Amino acid sequence: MKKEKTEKKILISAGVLVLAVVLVASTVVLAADNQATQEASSSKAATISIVGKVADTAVATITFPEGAPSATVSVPYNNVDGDTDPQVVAAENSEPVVRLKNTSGVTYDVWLGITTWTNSAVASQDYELVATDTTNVSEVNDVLSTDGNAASVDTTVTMDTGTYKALYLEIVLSQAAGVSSTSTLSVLGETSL
Amino acid sequence: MYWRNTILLATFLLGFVFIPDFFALATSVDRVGICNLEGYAGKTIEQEITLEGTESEERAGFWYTHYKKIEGDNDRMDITSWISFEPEEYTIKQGEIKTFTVKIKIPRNAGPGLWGATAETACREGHSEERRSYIIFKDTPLGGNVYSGLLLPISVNVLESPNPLAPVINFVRQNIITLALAIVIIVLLAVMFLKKRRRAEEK
Repeated sequence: MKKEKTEKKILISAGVLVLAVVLVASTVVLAADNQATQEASSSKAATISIVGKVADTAVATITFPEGAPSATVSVPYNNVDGDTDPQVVAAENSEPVVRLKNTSGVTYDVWLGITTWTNSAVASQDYELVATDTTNVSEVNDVLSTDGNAASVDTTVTMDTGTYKALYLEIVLSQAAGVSSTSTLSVLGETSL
Repeated sequence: MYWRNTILLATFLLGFVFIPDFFALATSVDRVGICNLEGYAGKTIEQEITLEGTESEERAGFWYTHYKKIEGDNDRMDITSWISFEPEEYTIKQGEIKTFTVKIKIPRNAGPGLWGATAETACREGHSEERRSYIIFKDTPLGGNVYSGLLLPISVNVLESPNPLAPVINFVRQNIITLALAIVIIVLLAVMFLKKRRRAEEK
């Protein structure tokens, strides 16, 4: 009798252990059977480069030469090409102040922004953003800032990966005389529309 | 003739080793948007984001926020006041990788739902009309006044106030098999123990 009881206990314990092993193992096996390897990759997202008119050298500064109060200044130059090779606004053979280059693997919508021109020296600022083979830019009149204050503009121009655009800039000076002024220009990319 | 052609071919192929990488001329970032972050009202979410310097000159830059105001927007669209950066300013050299923490402090009175964009698909390409709040980084060569950067859309899904029993419920869901097994074993052991005790009492 005692032996039978012991055997019963052993059988029950063994049954419970088997149940446990089966349940745990089945979860592991099912999980292993349901696994498969997938791979994916995304292209790098880098900022739009601002480069010289000819060479792909990064531009650090853009300078507008001195002008008379209330005058329009449309011959800015960059630090790579220098003041001897400024922007040219003309019906033929126009040249931008800088080129933009998208080195990223992403297509961008281009935004432009400026900080407020100091000393209220600038009354307004405009831009043109065109294909680099467009050489008949005789007017620069897309509005960047209506009053020389900080502004941010969605140009709605897109740049595909590996492409360039030509950027033209123009300012109208205020009536203030004998002042110098600074501002920063920003070229920002947003993943495309 | 054979050697001349071989040398020419080798020289031509060798030239490719020295052609600069067209695609490595600007600061790069590891994500183009931070959308549908989840958090509770009154809590702060942290999200890391990484920049890599690829230009030959050292660049100086900073992070800031921007709200694209569209007529008819409600007050859920501008979450720029929730956002801060650590660190906010940086310098970065070629080959350097720097990590930044974007902190989003959700106000206590923020109701559940999406904030900072009109739809949860805002970060997808082709959905820029849905974006309203952005984080921006921009940088320039040291001493420069011409910056380049990226606008990264950001949005937050404020969750309903948590159920105090939620951790318990989650634990049970994740360990249902183990718990069922444990209950079976405990019941069997209890039955065995009770039977043994009854027999002992009968004796």
